[in-house]
Amino acid sequence: MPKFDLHDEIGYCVGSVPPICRGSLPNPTLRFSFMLDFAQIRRFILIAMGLMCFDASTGKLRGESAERASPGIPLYQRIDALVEREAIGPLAHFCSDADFLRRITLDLTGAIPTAEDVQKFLDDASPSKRERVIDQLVMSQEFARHMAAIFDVMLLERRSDKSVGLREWEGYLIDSFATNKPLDQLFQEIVFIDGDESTSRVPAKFILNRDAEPNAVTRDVGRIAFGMDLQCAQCHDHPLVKDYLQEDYYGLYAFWHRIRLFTDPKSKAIVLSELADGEASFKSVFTGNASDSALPRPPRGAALVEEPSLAGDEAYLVAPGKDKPGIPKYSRRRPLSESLSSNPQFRRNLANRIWLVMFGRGIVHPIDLHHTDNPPTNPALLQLLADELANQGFQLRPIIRELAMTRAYQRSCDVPNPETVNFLDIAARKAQFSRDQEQMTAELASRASKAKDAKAAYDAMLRRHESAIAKIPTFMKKVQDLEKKVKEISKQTADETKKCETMEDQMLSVREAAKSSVIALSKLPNDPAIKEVTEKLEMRNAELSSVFDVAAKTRDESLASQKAAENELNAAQSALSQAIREKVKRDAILPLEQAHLSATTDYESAIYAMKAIEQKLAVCQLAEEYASLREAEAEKAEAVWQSLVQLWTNRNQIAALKPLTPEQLAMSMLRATGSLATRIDSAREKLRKSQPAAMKNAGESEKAALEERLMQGMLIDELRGTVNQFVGLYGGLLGEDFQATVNQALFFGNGAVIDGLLKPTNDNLTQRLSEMDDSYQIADELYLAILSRPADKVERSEIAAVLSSAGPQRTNSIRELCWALLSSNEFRFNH
Amino acid sequence: MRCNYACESVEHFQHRRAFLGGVAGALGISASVSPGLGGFFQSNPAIAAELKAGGKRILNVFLHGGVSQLESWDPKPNTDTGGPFRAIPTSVPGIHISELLPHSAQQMHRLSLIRSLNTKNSDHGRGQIEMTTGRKRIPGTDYPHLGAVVAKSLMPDDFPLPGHILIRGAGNSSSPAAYLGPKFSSVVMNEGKPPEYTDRPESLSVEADQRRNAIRAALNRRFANRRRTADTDSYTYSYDQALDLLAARDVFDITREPKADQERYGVSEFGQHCLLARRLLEKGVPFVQVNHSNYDTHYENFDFHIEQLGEFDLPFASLVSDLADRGMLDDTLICVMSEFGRTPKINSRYGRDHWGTAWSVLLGGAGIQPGAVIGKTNDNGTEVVDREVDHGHLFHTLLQAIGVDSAGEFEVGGRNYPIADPAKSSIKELIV
Repeated sequence: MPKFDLHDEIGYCVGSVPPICRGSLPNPTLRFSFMLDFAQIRRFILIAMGLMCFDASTGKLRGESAERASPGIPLYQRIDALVEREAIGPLAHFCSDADFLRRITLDLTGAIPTAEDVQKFLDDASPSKRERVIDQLVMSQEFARHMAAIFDVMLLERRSDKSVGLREWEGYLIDSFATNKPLDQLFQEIVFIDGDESTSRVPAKFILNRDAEPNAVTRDVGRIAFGMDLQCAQCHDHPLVKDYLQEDYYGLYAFWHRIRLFTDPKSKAIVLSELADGEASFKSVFTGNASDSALPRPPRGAALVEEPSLAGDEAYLVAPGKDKPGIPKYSRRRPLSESLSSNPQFRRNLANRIWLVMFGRGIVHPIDLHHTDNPPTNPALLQLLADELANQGFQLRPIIRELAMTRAYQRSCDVPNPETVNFLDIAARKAQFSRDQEQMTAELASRASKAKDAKAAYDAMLRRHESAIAKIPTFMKKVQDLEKKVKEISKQTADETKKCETMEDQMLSVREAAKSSVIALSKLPNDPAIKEVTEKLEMRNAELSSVFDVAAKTRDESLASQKAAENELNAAQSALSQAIREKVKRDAILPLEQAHLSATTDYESAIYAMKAIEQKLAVCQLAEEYASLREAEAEKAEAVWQSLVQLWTNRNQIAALKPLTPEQLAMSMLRATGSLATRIDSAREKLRKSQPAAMKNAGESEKAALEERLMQGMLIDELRGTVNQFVGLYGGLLGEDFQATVNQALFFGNGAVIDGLLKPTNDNLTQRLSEMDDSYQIADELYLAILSRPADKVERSEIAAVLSSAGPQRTNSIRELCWALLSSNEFRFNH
Repeated sequence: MRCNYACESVEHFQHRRAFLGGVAGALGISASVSPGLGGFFQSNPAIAAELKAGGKRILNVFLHGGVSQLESWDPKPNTDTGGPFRAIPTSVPGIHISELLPHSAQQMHRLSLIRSLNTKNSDHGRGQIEMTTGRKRIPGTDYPHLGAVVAKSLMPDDFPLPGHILIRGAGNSSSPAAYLGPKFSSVVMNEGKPPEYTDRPESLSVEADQRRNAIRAALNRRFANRRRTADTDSYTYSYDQALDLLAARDVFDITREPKADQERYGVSEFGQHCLLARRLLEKGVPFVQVNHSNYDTHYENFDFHIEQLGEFDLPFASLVSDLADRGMLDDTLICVMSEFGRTPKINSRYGRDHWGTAWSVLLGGAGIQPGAVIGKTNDNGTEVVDREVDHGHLFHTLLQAIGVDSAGEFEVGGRNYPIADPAKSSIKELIV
């Protein structure tokens, strides 16, 4: 690979770039399409260097599509090009090797590295050692466990429930990541999975965990799958977010309207039940507008206009009853599930969340407020990631690997020295941004009006369709009722006809007998017996005739009303067919829908481009403010400087300090104090003893990997008690603000968990340190184990001083030192 | 109305810096006073000042199970629904309450009643949530408890004690802070014991704790040279706060109160809890909730109310009177609430059932007009006939009374949350 330093092109980077992350090919199992052509890289850089502004000759935002059409260049380089194109001011140096190893190990495996691994990494002189570690960690089973933990929190948000066992759910997630299940498939399975309860029950935990309450599920699918918190739009158009409409909420809600929680009366198992019908309708609490109906429609996706119309028992595989949950033949969750992969908002949301996992902050942040007033800090970057995620088949490992390979990820978190910042250069770029802004203004207006027109045309067509389909359920009901009526009358007619036939038969026999009897009587006129029989037969004949006449009349009436009902049914059926014919065809809606969606996307891209320019101008202005205050008003300048550093961090020019999640904190505490290895051994022991069926059935070649994977599930279980103590106090969800509380500090200071970890025992850290004599050796071991770096000179002598003044209290002193390091900011944050 | 989410405006940051500055100052002073490792930590003088300054506070007494309004604040003697008890005059001419509350009756001139609550609910779980969050319970949404809202609004950044304390006799094991974050969720005190983790392990002396904290501080100072953020400062500060809290942990110990007071409040759990509440409020804790149980009287309503209110009356009245005597009632808002009231209809087991249609709460102290009665039920208490209000109005009123603009919004994590239900407003005539 040719040597090519982006910083030469960009020209405003501070500091030099160490020779890493360049040159070598990544692990072949993770390789993207690599084309290492210098000219291509250069062309891409030049395109990327072009500012995101409107080009009148093409009608495109410059750079809008250029990055996407640049295959051949490794993704990590394309990411860096976009980050650095948008950078204003300093780009931080690469972080130190120690910082890097700690950062990547925490991010990919959920714990700090072992002291040995740190030492080994520091001693390694290979220029490609960072890449090697990334490849090794991203392919590890620990990665699957850590991602399972992250997605568990992302999906269930630390709620508890009784529907699906934790171990099963965790096993499902670990397996998903271990086997590289594409992320779109994971989300699809959570929304809908074909098959019986044994396949669908575990992924359904997402829904069951929310009591299958349609509003709760709607809100969280909106947030977690699409990055849009539509909650406020449940009762009225969102008061703060103009993009979120009540129809958006109910469009998504319509997919979930039919679900229910079902508790099996015998086994008490909690499962999902679904009805085959029911439409969502809504009314604004503010405008009180008459109830609007809503077609099922995911955010930024296509409306569901053609659905199978099944009625009554026809509609169910299993009809819902007291003792069984409903399973419809057609579930609306299926089309929602199938639509995810191609939904642009789903892709953007997923890309944004993965970015957050690695960088500590979303490109759109807060992560569940994707809308035009909360623009991405780098729109082109988000688009690139969303596209690449889909291009790579929604595979998590390759994307994470590329993110880890970027300079953006490997930057130092140290604050730059203000003296090294080129404020003149920043000021000089302002003029260009202002010009870009002017150029964008007209384009923005034109795209706005196009988007508005396209939406109006689409809405009008949808209204037509909706008014047509609104009649269908009534007509269908009428047809059903009439069918039932015709069936009933036909049965009645048939019964009556049969009755008449029997009667007629009897009547004819009697009549025949009477006739014969009359003949016999004429021959034996004085025979009293024959006379009596004849009279009886004639009387009976007359009776039967009159009864038959009545029955025949009833039968004829029945036949007439059957005829009438059949006519009515025919009329109703043709009315229904008429209404179905009037339904606007999917083909008629599709072009308008696509035009609407693409005009909206175009408009939003322009807004985001505009806001990106505004954000850059804001950086320039803040930098200018700082430069002017620097001399005269130190205190004010300091506040402005902090804001600037924050902005640079958000723009990935400086690495962020990421607080450890409670899971990371707990595992790192265990590792630092030397208890994790013991716990891993114990988990492995338990696994071997339990001899899971999966292991017995596995082939020899898979056994080792499978054991490693099952071990990760066992380890989560093994550590659950400890981790839960941290979770209870440190809590926190993905992307939430950091909060330090006095309760946490009290727990850390006085709780039994940490006290226990620091008690010297079994070759743990405090035990090992207590047995050492040389205070420098103690200092090194202490710092490597807890802070994942060697102690520096000053620190070594400080430790020596503390230990020498401790005298006989040496062991206590070591415990105090360990506690202090564990409670430090350097330990608490991923830096 | 719209918020610039991406904003990292200077004003915004300066607000945070004010807090950081305070912390830095405190650390700086300590460091210069005692440069050695031992005794590094000294209590923050600003905290003492804050305690003296005495912000507003709320004491919420929650009567679990649903107290009967007819046996307490809105008696209807000699009616088909009224039950056996008399109504007695109070210290406010014209206001009568149940004879089960003779001591509280003597404090009525300091308190006020809302007799027109219609909360349209008769479910315990929902009632508890709706009364303490002021919102209708919506699936998929959690709202913060009143205590979290008050702590968030009134707790000074450098306040060493918890801002939201739940003294629990029953009911939920904690009160959620929802989107306001764990800093504002309740610290729970059970069975008169201090909150969890406020005892140092036996092996750890005060000196050792100070020594290790001094090393921690030194490490953090060094790391601050690399990077310092609002997050690192607040993490650093949480440990300093913990030391302050340990130094002040006597606040949780009512045996430090004069013997006479302990006797006056009585030996019942609720009595002890009221005394503890007084102590905590005196130390400036912005929100204290005392739970009292159990009022869910589907059977033998009248016997149970004799017993429960008998336990409630004297300690509660003592607390009101003590707060008044100490001049604390001007800053302390008292509220006595429940998840709902009880049916006017007496069932076949001499019980009353759940009833949210027409019931009462008691308010008094900071910001509240004393001796007032808001709203009215009909003669036998089966419906509200005047000034119907619900939990939403009550929530606004409680906040307005302590000077929190309940129509405002919290900004958390880059998004805005209305402090109280925007569709409701306060009961203005009740607020001074």
